[in-house]
Amino acid sequence: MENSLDQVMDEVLSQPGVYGCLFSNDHGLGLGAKGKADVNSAGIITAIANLASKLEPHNGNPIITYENDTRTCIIKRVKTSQIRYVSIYPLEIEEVLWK
Amino acid sequence: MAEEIKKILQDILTKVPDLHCILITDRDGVSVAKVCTEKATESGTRFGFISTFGLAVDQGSKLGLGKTSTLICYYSQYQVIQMNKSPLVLTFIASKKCNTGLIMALENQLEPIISELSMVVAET
Repeated sequence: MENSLDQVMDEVLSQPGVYGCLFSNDHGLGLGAKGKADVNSAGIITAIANLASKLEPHNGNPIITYENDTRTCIIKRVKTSQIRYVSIYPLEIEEVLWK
Repeated sequence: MAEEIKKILQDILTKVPDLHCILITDRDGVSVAKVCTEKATESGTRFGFISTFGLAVDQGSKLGLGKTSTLICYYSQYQVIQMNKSPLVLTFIASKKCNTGLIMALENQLEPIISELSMVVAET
């Protein structure tokens, strides 16, 4: 089971400019992390996604973006399952990852 | 010191949504520090319930995976997370929908309190 998740994480990390990615489930438990992402952040990331989804209850899957001078952190809840992930990468490659 | 610890725990309790209770006990379930909301289940905070963790830790060590550090139990309405901080046990009681990862992340935040209390418990 982890192999397919590992493959997805490798694919995400192979994109230019991606530094790390993290997957967590709906309970905020980390499923996997690669690159510059800490699996211990899974709970906080899930909490951020939950709080953001309360802003618009009808649209339960918001994309949250944190930007600083050099990096972007994107948090997204995947519709088909209860898995969320965060990646740290430039915004230009967003389309590639949401396919 | 007790008041300070209680205040810190109360602050944490209000910051985590759906977290009902934080308990610091010894291995036998004797309460050292406790903060609860009115939603906390009474049976969950009882002496006998908490002390079961000690038995579970002993059984868990037989699996050959090393020392048991954390035990997460999901019930129909509640979840109970217990952390082995020998000689103390840290217990969180939360609703089922509470973010487990967020509670797990509290471990680092509570580390200074636990080490301070551990010294007191070890001395007595």
